[in-house]
Amino acid sequence: MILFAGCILAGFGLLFTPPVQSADAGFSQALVKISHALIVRCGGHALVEGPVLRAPTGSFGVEMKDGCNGANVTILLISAMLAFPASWKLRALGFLGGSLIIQSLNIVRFISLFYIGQYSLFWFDFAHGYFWESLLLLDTMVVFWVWANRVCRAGNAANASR
Amino acid sequence: MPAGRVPARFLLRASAALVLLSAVWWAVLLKPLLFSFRQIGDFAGSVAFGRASCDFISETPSGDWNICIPVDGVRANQGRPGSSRINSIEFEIARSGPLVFTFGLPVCWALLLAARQNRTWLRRLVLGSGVTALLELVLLLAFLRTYVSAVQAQSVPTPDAMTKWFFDFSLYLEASVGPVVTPFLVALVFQRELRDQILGRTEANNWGLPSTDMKTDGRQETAQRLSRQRHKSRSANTRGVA
Repeated sequence: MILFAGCILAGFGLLFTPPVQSADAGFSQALVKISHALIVRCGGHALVEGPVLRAPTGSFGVEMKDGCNGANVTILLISAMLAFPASWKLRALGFLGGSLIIQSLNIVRFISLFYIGQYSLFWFDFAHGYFWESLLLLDTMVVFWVWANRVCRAGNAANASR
Repeated sequence: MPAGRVPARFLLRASAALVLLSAVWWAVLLKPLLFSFRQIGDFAGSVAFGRASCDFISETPSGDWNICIPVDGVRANQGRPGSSRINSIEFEIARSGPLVFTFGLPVCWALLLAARQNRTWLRRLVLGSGVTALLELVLLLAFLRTYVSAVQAQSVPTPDAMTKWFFDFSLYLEASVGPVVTPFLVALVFQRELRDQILGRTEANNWGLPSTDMKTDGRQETAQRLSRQRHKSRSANTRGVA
């Protein structure tokens, strides 16, 4: 628990340093571009203005700001994986796979918010501020659960082959 | 049941419960929870920080919160001789601000109800709700106190970058990370089965945990025999955990 808390504090502390903040902003813009490409690919319409995804017909736009790019839940996942006893190879696989899953879900979240916001700002506030935030953390917890079980099974298999 | 299905089933149950309970929270519970939270926060804040000439938390006609925190500070008058004394700092936060501190309850309920149930589920639900509400209240008070300290630090003619980083970091943890993470931690503390499943401490995993500190074969065999005995006695006493 101490290691987990330490990793979280270090991770979020780093997130607030100027070099990481600028990298974070660039990452957010890349995610907005990916979201835009997916919307266009599926036959939808949207415009990209830096970190803002804007509806072409109305004035509604949704901006990907700090914390909206999934960096915070990724830090929580990586902290949990670092605190869990596992080999570095399994940890590296976990970081990679877990981050990919979280970012995929985050893009789904961002696109859904883009459409919910055009439909109703009331529901946008609910989905953005509360619902999706907790759902993403729940998904992160389950990703860690699946990974931790695989680590234990790998440990069991290694133990059985001795 | 295959190991991968247990997390998947939990995810489905918890997501469904989260949809339902967060909608109930948004439509029904929001006003009473916010009212209770304001009343308790006002009392707790007055006890923790002392009472200023105004109420610690009061509601404005538009529904926003007016916060008044007593401080003991002296501020230099920039460009003028002398200094002035500050007794309290008063500011307003939009109604949406404190909402996040009440959302921990439906999240905690969703997680506790989605986990495997036994006879003590109601006790866990009540205790989990109480602890979540208490921690969220502590986070709110800590956030308000840090915010006031940040305002005071900004009044210094040349605030340094480190101080600014520290306050940004603290406010982010208290207002954005803490309220969201708290119900998950509480649920894991009160749902031991769920915690054990997530951390791989189920019977099957205990059976094969590598005993790396055993150097000789004889000691390893003893450890495995003990592990087997533990496994048998636990299987007899407890219900299986997938």
